[in-house]
Parts: sequence; C-alpha cells; structure tokens
Amino acid sequence: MAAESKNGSGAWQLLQPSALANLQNLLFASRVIVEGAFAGRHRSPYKGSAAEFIDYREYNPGDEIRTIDWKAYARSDRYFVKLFQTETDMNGYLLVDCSASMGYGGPAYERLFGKDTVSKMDYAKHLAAAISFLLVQQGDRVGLTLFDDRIRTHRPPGGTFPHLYTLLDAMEKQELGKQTSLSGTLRDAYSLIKRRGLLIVVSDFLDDVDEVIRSLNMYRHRNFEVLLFHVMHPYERELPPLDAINFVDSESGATMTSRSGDIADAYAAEVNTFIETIRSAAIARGIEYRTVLTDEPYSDVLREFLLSRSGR
Amino acid sequence: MNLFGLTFANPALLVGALALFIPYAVHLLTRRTPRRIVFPTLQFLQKAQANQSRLFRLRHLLLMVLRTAFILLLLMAFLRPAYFENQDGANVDPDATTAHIIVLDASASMGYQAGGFSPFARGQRLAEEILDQVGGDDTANLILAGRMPKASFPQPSANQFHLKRDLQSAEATFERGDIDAAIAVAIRQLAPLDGIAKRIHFISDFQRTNWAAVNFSEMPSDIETTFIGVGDSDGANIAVTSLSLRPATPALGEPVELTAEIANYSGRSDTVTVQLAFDDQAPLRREVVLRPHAVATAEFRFRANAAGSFEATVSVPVDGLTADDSRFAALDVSERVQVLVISDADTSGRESSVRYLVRALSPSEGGVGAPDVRVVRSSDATEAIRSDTGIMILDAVAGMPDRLAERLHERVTGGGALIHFLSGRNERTIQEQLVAHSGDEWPTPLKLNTRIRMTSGEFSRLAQANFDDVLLKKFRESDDLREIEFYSYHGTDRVPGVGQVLMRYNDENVAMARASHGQGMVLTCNFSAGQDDSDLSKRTIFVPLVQEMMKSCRIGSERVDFLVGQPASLIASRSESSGGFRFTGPGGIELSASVEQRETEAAVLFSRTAAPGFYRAMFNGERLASAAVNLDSRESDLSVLSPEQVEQLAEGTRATVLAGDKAGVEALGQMFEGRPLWHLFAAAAMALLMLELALQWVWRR
Repeated sequence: MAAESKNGSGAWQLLQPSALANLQNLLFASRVIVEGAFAGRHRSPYKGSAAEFIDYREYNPGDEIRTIDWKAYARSDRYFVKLFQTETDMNGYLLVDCSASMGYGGPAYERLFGKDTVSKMDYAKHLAAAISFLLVQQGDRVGLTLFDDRIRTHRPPGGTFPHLYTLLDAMEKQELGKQTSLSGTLRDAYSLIKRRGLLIVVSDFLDDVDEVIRSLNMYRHRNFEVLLFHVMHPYERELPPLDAINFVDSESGATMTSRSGDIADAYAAEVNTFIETIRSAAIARGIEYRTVLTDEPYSDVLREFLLSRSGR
Repeated sequence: MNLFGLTFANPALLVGALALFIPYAVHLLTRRTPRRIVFPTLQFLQKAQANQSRLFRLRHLLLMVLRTAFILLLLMAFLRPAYFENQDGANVDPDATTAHIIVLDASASMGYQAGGFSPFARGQRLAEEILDQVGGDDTANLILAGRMPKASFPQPSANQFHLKRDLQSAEATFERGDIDAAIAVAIRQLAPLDGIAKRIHFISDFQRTNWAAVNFSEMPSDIETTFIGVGDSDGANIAVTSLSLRPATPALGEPVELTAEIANYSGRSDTVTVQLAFDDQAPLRREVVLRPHAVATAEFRFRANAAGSFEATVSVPVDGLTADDSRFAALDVSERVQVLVISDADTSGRESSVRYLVRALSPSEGGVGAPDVRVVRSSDATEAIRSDTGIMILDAVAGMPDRLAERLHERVTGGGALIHFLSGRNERTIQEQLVAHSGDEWPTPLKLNTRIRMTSGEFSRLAQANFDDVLLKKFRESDDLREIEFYSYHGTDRVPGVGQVLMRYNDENVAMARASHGQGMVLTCNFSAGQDDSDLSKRTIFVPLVQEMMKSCRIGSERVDFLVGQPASLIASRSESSGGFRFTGPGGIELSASVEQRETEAAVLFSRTAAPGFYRAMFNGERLASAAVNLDSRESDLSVLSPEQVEQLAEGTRATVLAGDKAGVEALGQMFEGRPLWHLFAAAAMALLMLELALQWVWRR
C-alpha cells in the first residue's frame, strides 16, 4: 500500500499503518446526493441509464423508447419506464484549523500533564489524513484547506494517491498559526469550492459560534453535507489538576491566575454550554457534529463515526 | 492553671498551642507559585472565575477557620479543662487555701422522713463529702443551725477528725432554725481570716417559712457561698398546728372547748382521725376532712370533772414528720374561777357599786361553778393577785400603788383579764400609772377627759353597741341596754388603733372598750354600778351583763404556747422549798430547772427545751403542774424554695446553688474539682471535623 511505503520512508507520519488497518472496509458514504463527473460510490441526482435500477414509472410521451421495460409490458400490458440511479464520485473538502489554540497539548505539556503525546493540532492532522486516505481509497476526491485567521493552504480536490501525498505534505509542513477565524475561512473557502459535496471541518471552534453557523449555512444551502469534528484536549474539557495556574491565552496572550480546584466545576459547565450551543445549532441545520478528545485514538473515533453514519 | 474561669488539669500540653499554626502553615505552603500554562482560550476561565473565585476564597477562609478551631478544641480537650461555676477566675484561684464553714440546717423540718433518708441524713452525707474535698492547707468548721447555732470550733480548724465525729453524731432538732444567727456566727468566724479564700456551704431543705426572710445583705463580698438543697420539693405533711382552750383555765364543771387546727401541707385531700387524749383516759376522736393545702379544725367539747393539772394531747396519724403529729396543752382546772375585786369603796354602803358587783358576779354564791370572788383594797391587792386569778376588777380605786400597777401588768400579760370600771375620782391618774408601769405598753383605747355629771333628772343612754361581739351578742334582741340611765361618766376621746369600742353613749362618748394586752385583756367600762352614777344595778340586765363580761374575759384568755428550743415555765401551787421538787421532760427524762419561790406558789423555769411534750414539776411523785412545749408550726410547712428562688435570695452574693438533681455528691465533686469539660471540647472538635467533611462533600457536588 502506498501509505505504508511512505510511512516506511519517514517522509510523513500522519497515516499510521495500525490506524489505517482499523479503517479498512469502511466507506465514507455521503448522506446527500453529490454531483460527480466520474463513476463513484455516491448517488447522483442525475437519473439515467447507469447500472443500478431503482424504480418504475408509467411511460410518458417524450420518454426514450429504450427505457420501456418490455417484460413489464408483457406482464401488465402497460408501458413502464425503468428508472436508474447513477453512481458518481464525491468531492470531500477538509478544513483543518491550524490556529494557535490548536497547539494545546502534546510533548510540550508533558511536564505539566505527564505523558501527553499529541496536541490538538497533531490530532486534527491525523484525523484529516485518515479521512483523506479513506476518501481517496474509495475513489472519491478530497481537497484540503488549512487556516488560522485566514486560509494558509488550499488544495483543490483530487482523487489520486499522489494528490493525497501532497495533502499530507501540506499538513506536515503547516505550523501553528495565529488567531482563529473559522467563520472568515468558511466564507473565503466558499468561493474556492466549485462543486458541492462533503465539507469536513476539524477545529476547536474557538470563534463566534453564531458566525460560524451562519457561514456553514451557506454550504448547507448549496446542499453540502457538513461534518464538524470538534477537537478538544482532555485538559481543555476539564481543567488540569494543578493548584495555582497562570493561564496564558494562546491567541491573545492575555493572562489569568487561578486555582484549578476553585473554578473547575464552573469551567466545565461553561465548556459544556459551549459544546451544547454548537451541537444544537449544528443539529438544527442538519450538520453532523462530533466532539473528539485527543486521548481517544483517532482511528477509533473515525471508525465509530463512520459506522454510525453507515447505520443511518 | 486558671484561664477565663477554666482550670486545666494538663497545662503542660499548652505547648500544643503551636499546632494552631498548622492550618496557617498549610495555607501558606499551599500558596505555591502559579504554574504557567498556555491555554487555548481564557473565555471560559474568565466566566468561571467571575462566578466562582470569590466564593472559593470564602470557602478556603472558612475551611482554614474550621481547621484552626478544630485544633484549638482538640488542644483544649487534652488540657482537661474544668469550669468552676459562679467563680470569678480573674480574682479567685481555686487552688488557693480556703476556709470552709458548713452550715447544716438542723431545724425540725430536716427530720422529715418519707422513706429513704431524711434531708438531715442527706445533708450529713454531703457535708462529709465537703470535708473529704477540703485540701491539705484548708480549714473547715461545722455549724448546726438550730434555734441557737452550734459550732464545732470557735474558728475554722484543720481537725477533720473532730469535725467528722461531730457531724456523724449530729441529729436534727425539733427546733426552728435561726439561719440568720448561723450566718452571723459563720461571718464572725471568717472575718479575721485574711489572705485566704472563704466559703460558706449552706446545706438545708431551704424550707420556705424558714428561709424566705433570711438576710444575706451582710454577707461580705470576699465570702463565696454554696447553697446545697437536700429538701423534698413535694414533702407532704399533715400536722396539728395549734390548740386553743376556751376558757384557758376552766373551773370545775365548766364546759371547755378545745379547738385543734389540722393543716394539710400536701396537694391531695385526706380524711384523718384526730384524737384528743387526757393522761391515761380513753381518747376522744373526730374525723376531719382535709382539703389540699388547707387548714381544718377539730373541736372537742367536754367538762372538767376534777380540779388539778391535766395534760391534753391532740394527735393525727403518724407521717413523715412525726414531731408535729402531736400537739400538747396543759390544762389547769381550778375548783372555782378566781375573781379578785379591787376596790377602795365602802362595801357596806347601800349605794356602793362593789356590793352590787359582787352580788352580780356570784348570784348563787357557793353553788356549783360559782366563781370565788374576793374583795381587797388596792393596798392589799398586789399580794392577792395569784397565778390562778383569772379576772381582776378595778372599781372605785382611790389610787394605784406602783407594785399593784406592775403586778396587774404582769398578770394581764400572763393571761389574766382586767375589768376596769371608771368609777373612781382618779381614773386618769390610775390610767397613767398603769401605762407608766407597763413600759408604755398598757392599752388605752380611751383618753379620759373630765367627768360628766348630769343635772338632776337628766341622763344619758347607750346609743350604739357592737352586737356582733361575743360579749353583747346575747343582748341583740333586747332593748334592756337602751333603757339604762347613766348620770355620770367620763368624757372620752377615742385613741385610734387601740382596742375596739363595744358601746357608746348617745353623746358619742365611749361607754365600753376592750383591748388585748399580752396573753390577756383589759375591758374598760366607762360607767359604774353605783346608784349615784347609773340605774344599772336596778336593772334586770345587770346580772346577765356582768356574767357575760366575765365570760368574755375568760374566753379571750389563751394558753401560753411554749416552743421547742425556747425556755418554758410553769407555776406550781406549792409553797414548799424547792428542794422537794423534781423536774422531768418528755419521756420522763429528769431535767434541771430554776425555781423562784413565792408565797403560795413556785415559778419553775426550764431554761431550754429540746423536744416537744410535757415538762413537769413533780413533788413527792405527784405532778403539780405541766408546761406544754410544742413544735413551731412553721416547721410543718415543708414547701421549699426553688433553686431560682434561692438564687434570688442570695442575689448580690457570690453564690453557687446546687439544688434539686444538682445537689448530689457528684455535683459537689464538680464544685471542688470543677466541672470537667474536656468531652464537650472533644465533641465540638469532632463536630467541626464532621462539618468540614460535610462542607467539602457539598462543595464537591
């Protein structure tokens, strides 16, 4: 497999063989009908003569004669036209947050938290890489947008493994950026994305939630399927178990000193409220939403997520 | 060590106070330098901080205070603190040398015994406990508070052996306790002791009748007092509280009425058999219904069928306080009522008032029950007045010799009666003499003005009479009194508040007045039986009026009631030398008595009486006379002061009251060793610990 060979060479490490093994036989099936120029695994809104029969309807003048099912005519003495759903490939658009807040966690924090191998940023990259791999592997096309307060890298969709490698390289090279502007990025990316499909946002969503949802609405209006992966560090979901902490805002540099124990409950409540706000807004708009903690294996998260999608 | 009124048994552990700094040290040590963390965003932290940090600072402060208080309380528990009640820790060191005086109430009520131990026995036990607690350098004394306080030592002593021996041999008396006297003795003994603590322990039933008026105002401020109650708050008691004989000295064959008052000092009704016994004769019985906390009377009527000295005992069934279940009365029955008429008038004259008086006093001279009337001149009257002279009549007396005035005063105060007819010319002088020789105690309901003499053909009549009075009651329906014509009498001014007016003339002058004097009475008659002064002697009402006057005088005479603990006296009608006398007390115990020999009688004085009963003068094995000695009836009311009332009584003194359930050996031990408080501190520390755990649990949720 191409991923294994690249991994073995050490050029990039976002696709771990063990993680990929977990994702075998999982298809990133789109829940909405996508437009596709090539035959793929996804439903096309264009009904025609493709392979898969879906229904009959009565013949109307103007229909092509070749679509009449003569066997049905022989059985019922009525003209029926066979309807087929064409299968097409899907465009997946990955928007990965690279702002400064995504740098939380990882080896730099091990002296505070103990063993901590992955930051939010790394986790987001791994997750995005895995999704990219799945999409490419199942014959779909995938594009990538890396952003902080603006778009840093944009790769249009492609459906080949070499394209996948370029995406992975882009992610490997991307460093932590500045402040988050997810809503701005979504608006900017809207004009870059030509064809509707699957929009996957991997971010910590530390932006104005209303603005973000308003931006996502634009995609939903174009019938995009939107998936939100809300990446959080466990010690972001709850405060780290330290007594006195001088908190420094990763993006603004503002500081605040407090005792973790004093405000832990209130903090957790605030975070839960934030999550719930995003979740409810997303669900109301037909957007899928999933919080992901960085101590969960991303392959498991993805596997669980895809299984839950395939069950619908 | 003494601090804030607490004494610590383990002061060495005070070094543990350093542990109080542990919570502060922990607090300081945990204030480490904040760890710097680059955090994704502060927006949630700031909101949380705004809501929580002030509350948490308060929580931390509260926790620190709780922990400090916990250690403090735990330390206090280990110090074994003890609290001395009513003790000013700043001024008094409980370890200081102390002089203790135990005033043990020995009054009759302390002998009440309704099952279990008597209050006196309980008091002995507690007094012994106090002596046991007295420290090595301390001194103590025991004062038994009877009628006369009796101290073991002239001043507090360290001789505990002697004190305990006195205590064990002590018994409750039949006397009324003089608590004020006992307090005075205790204060006098403690006064010279300087530089040491002083304490008086009162152990008593705090009987209301005995203690309510005790005066603690003279208690020096450097003396602490302890009031230890040993009484029964619901001590039920039925007692014979008084006896009255009418007449007090009856004559042979004369009807006698003995009235016994039976008091029920309990909260329940009862019916008791009251028994009257004379010497060895069969007793008379009466059923008496007693209501709760009420007094009932039992009346016995009889005639004296022999002259002489008789002993009457009235008793009720035996109860917890036996000393008041019987009451005693000595009854002297004379052959005849002794009436002595003192007059300087010519008794042979037809107009003499004395002649009519004597006839009216004894209309059936020599008959059964007729009085023995003697007439003497004022100069001879002094010697003629004897102890059995029931009635003395002054009529037309020329003068009042000093000795006669003194003797009249003495006899009247001793129970005799004097009928004074203001018929002489010197009545104002006579009245002044009587007042002067009685220490100004002679009762004068009337102030005499000039004598009024009507012109011929004119007279005054009686216009007002008190027919409710026993003397005039029989004349209510008769007009005879109004018919009497009075020609001469004294103008009078009423002396307010002295005696009572029985009759008035139509000119408002007083015709008759009566006043009590000591045990006896004086009846003043502002008229004369002489025919120059009135036509009284001619009237048919004259004899009945004189008879009623005589009877009323005798009814009013009360027996002298001697009380236990006081001297008792009697008159023995013998003129032999005192060498032939023998004196006995209750139970036939031989006693000594002082004898004052007179011409026809001997006055016997028992200087102190120790028990209720009869004190007798015997001669050749024959009982000559008896004196009845009874319990002070106030001892019978066993109601006690409540602890609050005792505290109120001792207000202003440094008093500790241990009464009711608190008056036990344990409470005394606490008084000396202090009340141990370590368990309270330990419990409080545990409570704080539980509180902290509970708070933390709540906060975690």
